[in-house]
Amino acid sequence: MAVDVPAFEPEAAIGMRPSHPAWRRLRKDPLALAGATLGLVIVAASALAPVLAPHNPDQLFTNGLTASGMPLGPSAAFPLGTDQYGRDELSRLLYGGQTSLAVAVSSAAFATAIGLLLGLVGGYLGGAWDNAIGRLTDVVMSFPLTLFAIATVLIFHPTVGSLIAVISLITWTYAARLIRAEVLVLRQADFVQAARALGATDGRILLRHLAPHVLPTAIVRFALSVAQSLLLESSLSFLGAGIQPPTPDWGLMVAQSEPYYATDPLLVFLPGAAILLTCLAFTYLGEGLRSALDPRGGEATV
Amino acid sequence: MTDGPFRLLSWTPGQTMVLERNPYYYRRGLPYLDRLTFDFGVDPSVGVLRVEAGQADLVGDGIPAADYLQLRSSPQWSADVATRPAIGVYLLALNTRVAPFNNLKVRQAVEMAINKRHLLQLLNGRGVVANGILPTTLPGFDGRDIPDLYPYDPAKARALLRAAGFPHGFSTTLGLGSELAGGDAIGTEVQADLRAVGIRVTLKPLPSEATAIANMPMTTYTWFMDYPDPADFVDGFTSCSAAVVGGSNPAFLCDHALDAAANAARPLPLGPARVAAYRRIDLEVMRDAAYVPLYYPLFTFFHSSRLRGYYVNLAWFPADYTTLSLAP
Repeated sequence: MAVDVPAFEPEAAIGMRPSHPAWRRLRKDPLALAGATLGLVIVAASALAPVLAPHNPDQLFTNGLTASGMPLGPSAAFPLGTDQYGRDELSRLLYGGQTSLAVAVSSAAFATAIGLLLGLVGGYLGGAWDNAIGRLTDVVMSFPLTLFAIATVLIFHPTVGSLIAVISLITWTYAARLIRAEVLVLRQADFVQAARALGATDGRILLRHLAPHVLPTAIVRFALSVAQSLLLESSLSFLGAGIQPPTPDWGLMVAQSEPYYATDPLLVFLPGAAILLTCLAFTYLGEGLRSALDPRGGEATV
Repeated sequence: MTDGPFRLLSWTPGQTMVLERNPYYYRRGLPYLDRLTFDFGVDPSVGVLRVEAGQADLVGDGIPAADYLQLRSSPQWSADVATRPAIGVYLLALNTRVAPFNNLKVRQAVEMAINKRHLLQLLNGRGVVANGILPTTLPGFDGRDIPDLYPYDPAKARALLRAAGFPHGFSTTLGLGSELAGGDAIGTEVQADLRAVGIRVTLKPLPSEATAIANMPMTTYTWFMDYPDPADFVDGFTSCSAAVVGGSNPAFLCDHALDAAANAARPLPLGPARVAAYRRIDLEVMRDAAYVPLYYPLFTFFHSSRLRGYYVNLAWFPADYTTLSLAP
């Protein structure tokens, strides 16, 4: 039986026209707009850290501590004060964002790409392929996420590269399951049947007919995945299994300043707030994109 | 079985140890306490909170900087913070057997690159900048240190590295004693200071007892007095026979002239001549630049207001629990 599927609109995924209904829906969603703006500001600030940061983030300033060795509060020289080692807090926040976001965005991109590929293949080919991919997904999903990440990262000495690899290798399952479910429905659709009747190869059907249809889901999943990866990356760094000192990183900053929660709460609050705001921004953006890209109004669970 | 003031009642390795009063102790009426419980593996910050809450009576060394300053400035607790100069030294050992630290110029560069004053600032001044390997608190040393052969001078350190054939620096690893009091501060300071002259350092946290056996290019090292004599430091740090993996000479320094000088100094009678001989040895050790002395530490302890009779041994580390008592 054929399922009603909206006609393929390439614009829905790539290069949306300003008049496109999805774009109009997105513009009417204040939370999504706020998320997009906030996300853009945070990403831009981190990317422009070399220009914006007043100091070298790793420099220990002799005048960056009080005579008895306590961190300084905000001043003209150090706009957000200094950390417990006499380093400029603002510069560390900006560069820390670079590290945290580089890991989060790259992991999300890899995870979504792997999920997209495996979801398409499993959902379309079915049978043994689907079984194998499905069981692999179950196995990966059944691992306690953080514990698995800690174990893996500790085996392969923690670096930015190994963190990205580990996070993407355990978070691709979310995208894979979503895409597979969608492909299962789509492969019964008239236009796929028609393509098959016309003699199109499996590769052509996957790439030209199915992939563009599931791309909006992948984009939504990517935005949400950035938030998820950022949380995971920060947790690992907080636990000492992630980014290593002195590289600035938000999770590591929270961990290192934790003894100062009573005397200098700003040191814990600022990187914590950066993590929270970035996660919120990408989550709202993702949720907004989901309802905007779903012409039926969006009840799907992502 | 014991002839000491307490005997072991129970012990859960890594968690708790309970001692009880030894009724057969030879000193009449001592110890005062019936029972003494040690909790191991408690985060120092948590230890401070437990004393404040009345759940413990004593925290050992290693009060985190944030807590230390808060306690010192608190009218309620400042009287319960005890400090005393330790007869000991914190240093970096540069492995003279592996490149590039087998090059004297490289070692001298490291000596001049470390900003010890800033390090002590990070430690809230809980120590004295060290110029040599012999603590100035040793008997007969009168608090005087040897002259500083390597004043902090990053520009000169870079020049030395260039002269040694490392115009772009190099990468290396620092074995960092992980339960070392102030270890975070030492790691951060050394990493940042060496980065400033071109040496990229990866920190490798190790159990403190493993720093001697890990055979790292660079490692933190500490020594506290076992017996009141400079030979306790010199023989361990510098003798060729100790320059083995697992020995007490993690720089693997083997200088036969130093060995001869140590052999000549050891039998000297107590007095100014002996002190002078060891000061000369200290200077010679510094000329080899195998150890980067960081500071002579100050021990800090935080105890409950009801704790009485708390004395700290000068030799080694532990406190004497025989005379402890609790005010009613």
